[in-house]
Amino acid sequence: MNADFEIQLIAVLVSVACALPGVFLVLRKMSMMSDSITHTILLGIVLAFFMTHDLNSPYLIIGAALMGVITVWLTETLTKTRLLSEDSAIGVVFPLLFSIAIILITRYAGSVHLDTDSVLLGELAFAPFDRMILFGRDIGAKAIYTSGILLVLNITLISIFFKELKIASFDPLLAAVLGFSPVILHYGLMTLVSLTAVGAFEAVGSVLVVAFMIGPPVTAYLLTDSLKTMLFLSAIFGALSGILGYHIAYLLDVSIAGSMAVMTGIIFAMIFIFSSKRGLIGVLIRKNRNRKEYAQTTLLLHVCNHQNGPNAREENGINSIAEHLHWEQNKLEKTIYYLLRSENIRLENGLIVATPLGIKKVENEKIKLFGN
Amino acid sequence: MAEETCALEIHDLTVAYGTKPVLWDIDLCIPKGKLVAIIGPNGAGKTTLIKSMVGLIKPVSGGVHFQIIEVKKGKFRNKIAYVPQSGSVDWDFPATVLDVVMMGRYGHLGWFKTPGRNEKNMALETLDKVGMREYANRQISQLSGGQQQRVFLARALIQDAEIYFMDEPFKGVDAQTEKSIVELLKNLKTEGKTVIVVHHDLQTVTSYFDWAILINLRIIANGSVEEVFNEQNLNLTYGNREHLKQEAN
Amino acid sequence: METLILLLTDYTFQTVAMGSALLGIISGVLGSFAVLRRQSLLGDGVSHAALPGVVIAFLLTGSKDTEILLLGALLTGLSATLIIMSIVRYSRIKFDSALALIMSVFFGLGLVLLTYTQRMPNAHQAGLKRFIYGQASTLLQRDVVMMAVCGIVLLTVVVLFWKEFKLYSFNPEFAETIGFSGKILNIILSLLVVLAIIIGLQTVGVVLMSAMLIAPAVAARQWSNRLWLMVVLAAVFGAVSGVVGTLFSSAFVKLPTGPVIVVCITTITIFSLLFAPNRGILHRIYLRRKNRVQFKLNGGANL
Repeated sequence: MNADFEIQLIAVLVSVACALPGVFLVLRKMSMMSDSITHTILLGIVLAFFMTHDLNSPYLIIGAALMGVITVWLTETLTKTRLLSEDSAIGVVFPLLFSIAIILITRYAGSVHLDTDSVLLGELAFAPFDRMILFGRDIGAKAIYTSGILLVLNITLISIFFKELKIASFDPLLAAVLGFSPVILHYGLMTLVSLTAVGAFEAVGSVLVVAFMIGPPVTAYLLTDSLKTMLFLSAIFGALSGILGYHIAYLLDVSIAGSMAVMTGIIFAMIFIFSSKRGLIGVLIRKNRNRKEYAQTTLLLHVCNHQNGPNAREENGINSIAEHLHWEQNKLEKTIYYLLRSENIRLENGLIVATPLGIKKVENEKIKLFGN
Repeated sequence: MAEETCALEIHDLTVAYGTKPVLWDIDLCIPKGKLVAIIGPNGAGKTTLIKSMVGLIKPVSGGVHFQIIEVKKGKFRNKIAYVPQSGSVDWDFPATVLDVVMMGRYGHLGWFKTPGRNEKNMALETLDKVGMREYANRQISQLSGGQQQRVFLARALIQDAEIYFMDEPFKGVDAQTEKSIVELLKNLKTEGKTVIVVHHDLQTVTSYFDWAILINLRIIANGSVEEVFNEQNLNLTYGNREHLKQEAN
Repeated sequence: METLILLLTDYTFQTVAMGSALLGIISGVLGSFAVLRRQSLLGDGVSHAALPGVVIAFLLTGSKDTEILLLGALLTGLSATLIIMSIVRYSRIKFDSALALIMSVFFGLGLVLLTYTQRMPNAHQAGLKRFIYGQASTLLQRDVVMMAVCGIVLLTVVVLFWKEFKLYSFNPEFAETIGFSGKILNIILSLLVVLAIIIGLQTVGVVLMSAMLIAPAVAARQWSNRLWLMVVLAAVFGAVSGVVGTLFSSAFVKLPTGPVIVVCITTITIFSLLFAPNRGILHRIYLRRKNRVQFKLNGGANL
């Protein structure tokens, strides 16, 4: 395996591994908690390092995962006092733990082979230098194995607990009634998120882990209502931003992780703007069309309501109706034009009169609306 | 109805969220000096109606005219007082009862002018009226539901408006407070003010109000309580029998 | 003691302490409004989104003047806010997801641009990275003067619009009905908050800036039920942490200023949450105990 391929493989493994638990974060409205966790795991790593003095110790991962859970617990405990709102609690807890970590690293910079840059920003380009040696043979970059294991772990746990996670995400109360403890599931998920963040931050840095956890799921959320499809699409979007991000970084000779994060953003923007169902353009076109149709129905209804009344000339007169509806002349003219063309109204001596077709249409609308 | 003076007239009002119409081509005259109840089932558009009256929602078509008020730009704002649902604000906000009541004078002060002794005295007097003077310096989070509602009422009273709009002022309120609020509303009426209330409790309509508007997306009935508050109209508003269920509660 | 006096009269220390104190005051005041309006974390988003702006400003002008770089930060910070708002408005994505997405993507863009400038032949990008972690020690006198000027402008606007901000933060709908446009107030207030964030970037950096906004306000809220007192206290807490943080990091080697300031302000916050009279956690526990004892004294059953 050459280095280029190895980097791409790691990029794909990491982004898919992040995207899967991210789906549940988005659905549970806990996106900002991932931002918090990705910062505080640093403290877990540093503390575990002080105890073991070994950067390769598995205790580092345990320490980090534990710190992730502690972060969640601290935030929730603070929120429960109701002395501050949840987002304020997040904003108090994570900067504190992160600051302590930075202070420790800076003070003991000589003895810790950790620098803030690699934690915060990561550097995927260096990943192939760290080799996995088994029985004296080089079997590929170490990060391939760590991220691979992470991905397998995520897939396994999510498939085993799929049903429980699904219920707990959409209806925590029902989950509790059915006997799945939402608390255990909640903290289980948070542990998984912390583990994933630990596994990923070396490659992409802690700030950008958030992009891979939240970006693909949010993009998928625009396209589907099914949880399974959402997981599947998130994985695809994650992998896609990994590969595309790498190539762009290679072309421009810039940060790979950064470029991958930008790619997540670009894919999101594309879907957000162009998706046919919930895309921005679609929404705007539909809104505009609806507004037009709505204006027609409103005018038609107004005409029908008043055409047999005593003030019909005033209410429905072509020169006075704009005043009654509080419409601009331009909007009024357009609406009348469309209604005339569809033969819902006709003009009689400067008076707007609904045709039988128009009256029928209003009746139908009324039935749709009021049911009688 | 034609001979009455309308405190406010609604013409051809259509309001929609997205494409879903909430109110559809409504014409309405609310007479001056009445205690008016807006009645209808959940989702009938009661809050929407009151919000469009005070200009918080921009309608698709039609509009609201305040006849008794000279509609000079900006000026008419001081002639209406709006009491939102008490659940719509954060009661843990760092403010005292006095602070909140004084906010009612901000509209008269206009931009940049700061409230002074005058406003403070007015606020204390108004708190007297709602029986909350001893709470003037209390933090608003330490109030009961009924007391919160009284504070909001005081904030409206101090506005010295012509028309009062209230969104469910009896929600979460104890019987004692409800009684005293009704008393205050009746006083406003005798002063010639118009009071428009979104109301939920059908049992108290006849004893509290003298005018009723029954709505369910459209106006079912609009008239004096004796005239319109009857079985037939309630059936039309709530669908058959549903209001009976509510009354049974 | 002598070293302390020596330190306090040191010119660099005075400059940095002055800058940190100013930052504390500004972020304390504007943070109070952000926290009360439940927009605490928007600051986190804005500060991360400021990074690409800094680099773009450098790429376009080639200048490393703080003012120009911060102008860039202001522009991307504002556009990120705008994008977040429109995502929430035009799709079913919730605020927190939109925030997390946009801030990390903008930060990624910042990194891409930063590594791009590193490849440029004659560019010294070293000065740019200080915005990520913040480097209070790089504060120059002119930076402090700029902070002071911005601070005075911001505080003047707050004083000028005091009544309106108070009303709008408490009950925006009511404000609208008595003729104070919510749209205008929202724009002014948001602009002030974004400005406060940008001013702080150089001192504490993008990651920790949100703490400077939130922590003083949360701490101050526990001590007072009056808005003006809360805002003043938040400013005081912010300023004290700024000075104390600078003091510690100057007195000891290898102690970064930004994180130390954040630890200081958070310590104040935690202390306030625990011990504030009437509101604090300890006071509540005491009340519960007292009630229980009274309940028993009055013949209530053992709970």
